[in-house]
Amino acid sequence: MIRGATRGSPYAAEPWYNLGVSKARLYRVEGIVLRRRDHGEADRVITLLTPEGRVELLARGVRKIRSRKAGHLELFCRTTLLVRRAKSSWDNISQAEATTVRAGLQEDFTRGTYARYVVELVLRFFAGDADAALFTLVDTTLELLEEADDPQRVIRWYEQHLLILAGFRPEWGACVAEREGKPCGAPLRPRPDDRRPYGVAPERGGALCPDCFVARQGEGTAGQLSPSALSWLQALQRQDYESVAGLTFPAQTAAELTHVMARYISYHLERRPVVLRALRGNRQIRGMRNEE
Amino acid sequence: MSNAAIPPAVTQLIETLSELPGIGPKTASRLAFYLLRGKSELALRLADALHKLVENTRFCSICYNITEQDPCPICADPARDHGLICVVEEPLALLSLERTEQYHGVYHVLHGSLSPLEGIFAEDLRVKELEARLRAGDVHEVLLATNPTSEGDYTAAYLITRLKPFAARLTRLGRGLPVGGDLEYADAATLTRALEARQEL
Repeated sequence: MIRGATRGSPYAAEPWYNLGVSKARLYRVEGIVLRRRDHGEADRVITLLTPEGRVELLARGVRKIRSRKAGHLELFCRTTLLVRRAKSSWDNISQAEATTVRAGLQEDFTRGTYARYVVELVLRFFAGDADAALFTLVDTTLELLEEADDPQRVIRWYEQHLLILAGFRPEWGACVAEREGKPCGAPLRPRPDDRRPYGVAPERGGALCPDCFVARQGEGTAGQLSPSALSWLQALQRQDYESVAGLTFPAQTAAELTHVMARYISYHLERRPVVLRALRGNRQIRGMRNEE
Repeated sequence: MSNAAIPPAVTQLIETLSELPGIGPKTASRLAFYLLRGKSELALRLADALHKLVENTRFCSICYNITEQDPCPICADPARDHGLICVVEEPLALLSLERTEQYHGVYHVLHGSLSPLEGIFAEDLRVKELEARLRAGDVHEVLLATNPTSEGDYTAAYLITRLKPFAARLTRLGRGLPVGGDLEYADAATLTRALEARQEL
C-alpha cells in the first residue's frame, strides 16, 4: 500500500494520497529508485516510482558508511520498503530490501547515462502520476539496459513506448500531413529500394509520405526521414523488445534515429532533454561508443 | 525573526546563522544569545576566524584542495609520492583519507560528482585539470576514491574511460563490509564485492 505516502510533504507530487488513506503508521511499498538528493547531515530524499505513483521519501542516515539501508537505495534499484508515516514532512524509510540491484548500470558509463535518460523522460513527461504500465516499462527498460548488447536500441524502443503512455504516440504508419484541407493519410510502407525520402513532422505528430514531404519542405519543422529509419520506427513502436532484439541498426540509421527522436521529444517536452549531453561530450574519447 | 524588542544587530546575526545547514531559527537564536552573553572574546575570535576563512583560503592550483598556501602543504611535500594521485569528490573525503596515515601519495579534488539529471556534467568538475596533470607529469597510478554510491560509481566509470589513455595504472578503493557491521544487514551489492575481494589467509 502506498496511499498516504507523502501526506503533508512539501514536495508531494500527487493527488491520490488521501484517497482511502490507510491509517497504519507503517506501510509497505515497492518501487524503483529514480532519483536521490542529499538532505541534512547524512540523509537523502529518495524519489521512488511505484505502480501507483511517484513518491518522495526520506532515508535517514543513509550517507553514513555503516547505514543498513544505503545499499538497498542505490539508483535504479528495485526495492521493497517499510515506511513510517510522518506528520509534517516526508515519510521515513525504516527498512529497505533491494530485490534487484542492477550493478551493470552503476559501473558502465554508457549504460548508466542511458538509465539516467530513462529517468529524465519519466520525470519530464509525467508530473507525479504513474500507473502499472509505466512502472513495468521503466522496470523492463532498466533490466534490458543492463543486459542487452546494444543499449542504444533499448533506448529507441523505450522512447516509442514511453511516448505512447505519455499520450504523444507518434504516427509512423500513415502520412499525417494535410493537403488542400484534407488529411493525406496515405499508408506508409517503406521499402529499402524507395528512392524518395519520407519526412517527419513533430508538430503534426508523425511521419509524412514522400509527396507531402516534398510539398512541405522549407516550411515548419519537417525533416527528412530515410525509408530504413521509418521502418525501424514502425518496428520499434509495434513490437515488444524481444522481437526487435535480434536485429541490428546500421550505423547511419542509428545516428538518424537519434536525431529524429531528439527532435520529436524536444518538440513535445518544449525543452531538450539534457542527460544525453554527457555522452556527447565524450566523442573524442578513445574506445567510447559515439552514439548520441 | 524580526522583533522590535531585539536590537537589529542581534536579529541580523540570528538570520545569518539560520542560513547555515542544520541550523533552524531556534538554534540560531540560542547561539546568538550565547555569543552575546558569553565572554566577548569568543564572538571576536569567531569573527576573526570567519574573516580569515574568507580572506586566506583558496584552491590549491595543483590538486584543488582548500588551502592557505599555494601549492598546498600536501602538494609541496617532497616526501610524498607525486606519481600517485588519489581522486576524491570533496575535501572532506581527503581529510578522512589523511586521518588513516596510510596514504602517501597526492590528491585531486573534483568538487562534486557527475549527475547529468541535476545538470552536473564533466565540465562542471575539475576533470580537465586532472587530465592536464596526467598529460604533464610522471604519474604512475591514479587511485579513484569517489564515493561508493551510484553517483560516485558513475563518476568513476566516466573517469576510467577518459583517463585510460594517460594513466599507467588505474585503481579503485576496495569495497566490502564495514568494520562493526552485521552480515545479515549487508546488501547484495556489498556482499558480492566482499566475496570477489576475499583474501587468502
